[in-house]
Amino acid sequence: MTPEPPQLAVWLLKRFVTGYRSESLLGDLLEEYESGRTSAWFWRETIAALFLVVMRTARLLYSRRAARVITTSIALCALAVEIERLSQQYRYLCPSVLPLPDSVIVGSCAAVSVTLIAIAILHRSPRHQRHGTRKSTFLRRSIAIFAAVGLGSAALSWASTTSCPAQSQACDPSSAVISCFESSGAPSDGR
Amino acid sequence: MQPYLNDRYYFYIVEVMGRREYLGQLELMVLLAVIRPSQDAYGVSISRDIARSSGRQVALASVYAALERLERKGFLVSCVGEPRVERGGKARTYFRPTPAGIKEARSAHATLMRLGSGLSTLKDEPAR
Repeated sequence: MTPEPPQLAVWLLKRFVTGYRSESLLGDLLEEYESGRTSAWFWRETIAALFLVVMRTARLLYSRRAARVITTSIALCALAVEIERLSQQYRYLCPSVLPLPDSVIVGSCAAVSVTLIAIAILHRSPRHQRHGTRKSTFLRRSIAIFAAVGLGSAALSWASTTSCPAQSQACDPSSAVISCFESSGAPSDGR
Repeated sequence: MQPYLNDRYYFYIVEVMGRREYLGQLELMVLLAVIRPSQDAYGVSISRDIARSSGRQVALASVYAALERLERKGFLVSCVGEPRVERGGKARTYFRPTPAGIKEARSAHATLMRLGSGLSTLKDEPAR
């Protein structure tokens, strides 16, 4: 009479090794065990199957999340740098309009970035989707992020070139530079 | 009938077309074991064939991982047989090669033969 296969190993296989042809894999292991394989062999095969499942899951999660985090980080850094640059420019031209200090702007950008990166890390894609659909969805999201950054930058650039609401005169960069030099006592023509 | 495609699928098409499916060593061995005409190929028989030919034991889970990749690439098709008592009531899954799989195996085999032609001119000397 053939001894029973290790019950714990069978339970582990049934519980954790799911997916492609997992029933056939278990059947093959039982068939081989029936034909004279040892319990050590059965355990070795079980551990190999579990190891493959763990590696596959880790690789899938790591690659998808890493790509998402890197893309989101680059987009958010570009957005933060652009906002900071435009706010500097706007404050220089219209000093009374934007009373926020640098630290508030940079801190806000950093907080928003960290929050969105955390969401990107923790967010899970819906399961039971086809691989190609997931990839193309990720690509569309990346393009949407970059498009949003580009549109936002363009809108802010356009806003910075319009008239200053707090002053009646137009925000002319050359006149603002000249007045700045004059107020600081430096010669405006460089001599 | 023309399949309905629009620019929504552009990036997906580029991604799919840009991917070239190369066979790994285990995949090629599994594909060749499935192609052998004398038997119905299923997990145990494929594993035994590889062990007999290469002299190395291959885990059944690794064989199934390779079978999954080959089936996803379109080189194999599978069908499920009847449940069997000696398998704990589980059915066997039989695999057959597709024409694309046979073509790919021939191509890989020819490439290996061409690349390995230098081996016959080598003497059995240790590398210095």
